[in-house]
Amino acid sequence: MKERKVPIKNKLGIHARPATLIAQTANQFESDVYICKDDIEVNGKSVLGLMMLVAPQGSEITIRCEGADEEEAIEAISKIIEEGFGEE
Amino acid sequence: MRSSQELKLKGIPVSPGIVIAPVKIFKRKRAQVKERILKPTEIEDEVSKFTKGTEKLISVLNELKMETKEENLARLLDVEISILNDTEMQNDVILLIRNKRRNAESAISSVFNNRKESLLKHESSYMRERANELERLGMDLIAMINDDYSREDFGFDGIIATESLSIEQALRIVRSNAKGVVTEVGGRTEHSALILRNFEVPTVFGIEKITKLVEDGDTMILDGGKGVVIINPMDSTLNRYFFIKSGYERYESGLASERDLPAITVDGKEIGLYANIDIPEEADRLLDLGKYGIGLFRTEMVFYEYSSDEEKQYQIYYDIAKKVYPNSVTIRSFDVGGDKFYSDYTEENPFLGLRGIRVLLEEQEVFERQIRAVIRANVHSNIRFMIPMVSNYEEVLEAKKIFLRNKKLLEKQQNNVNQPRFGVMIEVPSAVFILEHIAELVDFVSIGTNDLTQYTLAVNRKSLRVSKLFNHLHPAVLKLIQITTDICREKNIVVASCGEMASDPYGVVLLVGFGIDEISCPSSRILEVKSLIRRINLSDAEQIAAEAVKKSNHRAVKDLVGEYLKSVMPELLEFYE
Repeated sequence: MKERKVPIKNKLGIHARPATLIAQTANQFESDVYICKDDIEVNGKSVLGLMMLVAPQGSEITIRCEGADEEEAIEAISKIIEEGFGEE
Repeated sequence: MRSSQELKLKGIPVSPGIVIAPVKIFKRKRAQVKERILKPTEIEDEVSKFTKGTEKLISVLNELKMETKEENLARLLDVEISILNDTEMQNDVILLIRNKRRNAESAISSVFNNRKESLLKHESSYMRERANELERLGMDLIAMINDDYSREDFGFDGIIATESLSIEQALRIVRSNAKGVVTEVGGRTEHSALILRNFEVPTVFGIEKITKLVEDGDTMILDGGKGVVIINPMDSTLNRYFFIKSGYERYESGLASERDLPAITVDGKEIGLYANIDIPEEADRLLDLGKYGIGLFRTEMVFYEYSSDEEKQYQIYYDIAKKVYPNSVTIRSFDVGGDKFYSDYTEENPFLGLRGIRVLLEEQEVFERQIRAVIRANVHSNIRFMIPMVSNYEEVLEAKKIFLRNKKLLEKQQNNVNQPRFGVMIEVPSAVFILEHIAELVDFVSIGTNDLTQYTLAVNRKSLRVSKLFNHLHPAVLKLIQITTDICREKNIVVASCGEMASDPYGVVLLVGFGIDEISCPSSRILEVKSLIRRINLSDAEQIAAEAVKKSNHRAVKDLVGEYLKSVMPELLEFYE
């Protein structure tokens, strides 16, 4: 299992489009992906789950990946979050 | 339910234009969801009905996405596609079908409604606003599994009446032959409204029960500019509207004949005429109207998408500046807070709270990123940068410092840095009274008449109860404008106006009279404003403006200016409410 804390850099935090980007990325991997914020943990492959998170700029979320490609998954997801979802 | 009487109904004006045409009702509604307990033998069929329907809707949206050239719209569709692909959502629905033996449509309806309810409780207002869009997606999915969903629907040469509109439906309508749209629910700021306005499909939202009040084929009059719909019109009403419509069309083509002429008063003062835009794509349509610059590029849409992406912002600003060159574009910095979404922070009284420049100075990283993108994009030296909602001298000083500091930093990194002209919005009365000091720091100012009116009269224009007190012809507002233009003349800086007053004929006469240098209005009003300016005598307008500030109330002002308008451009009053 891999776990990593990443800061939310973009102003609006996780709203509809970032949630879409995280889910799209997570779904490219076999591993289970979870995103935790405070006491709430949601399935990182579920855009609707991610939309429920309250993760504004400056807050920190934890990514947890478990499975055969957990290393790659956690890298890819951290990257888009750290880039502030700005790319695409 | 259907009435045979002529009925005039008032809704929300979304996109202007007059249409007289038969109506067709399109319904996809919750009421059609029937809950049923399945027989054990039916369960797997129902599951596959759901999965096939989901796949079909995804492929419909994907196809539409491929056809959509505008990146912003494609991204909106992406969110919907991801929701349909959401395995948690899918599993929830399938569990309800398998374990509770619920039929597919009622299972979908429960799951989407649950999610909608949670979204409505979200701390962020932006997320709460997405709840309706989620509900509509669920309705589309139900329609799809019931084979009630057809893409050819809108191939109809008339007015479409529907309960509400999804983004996807709006996109298909603008590509169809539909002449107009009326809905029961929806707001001006919804994505679907933006699309219809962008493509100039006359539209009225918010006519309650409209799909029940009419039947297919009934004749309807729709006036998108006034937000009015008339059903079962009497012959006399029809004749009147045919007359209005043909007059309107003649009037519009008359305006178009002046397309390439300058906005110059009879006695020779040229007024700079500019357009307001909300999304970058609007700049393309602007070119069809002739050569204009942009007097107000609102960057809130950019903020929502790219506040943390300097490169993307640079590209957007650069493209627009290049498109309008040799004219200029005034980029207004992010005006968030107030009624516009700003993070998860809520104000008891948002218009008097953290808003405009107050946000920018608190969120310096975001502010500086935009400043750098704007300065870098100023390759053709035709960009102006404008700060919203200033009320204190120190704010402007601080913003200017940050602006200049970033310019210096950029100069160390690249050659040929062109400093954009720097200006502020005048929309808070306190800024007017210290303008002689602020003027030392800026190259131009732009009067935002909507907020100036709101803050002067202490009236929220969106208030259900007091919005009728909102009026930019109020003599107090006019006096503030007069002071502003006088100081700008004295200090020799450019003074522009970009609020609603700048597209109201009464307002235009007064602004010209006060000595405004530039007017910026929605592109749909540009030709009308130009025609009016070409009929105004500056010396007359000056006299009227000087008299107007002495009046006791807005009605007296309106009468005074109305008399003049009647003498110079009577046809305009006919089409103006």
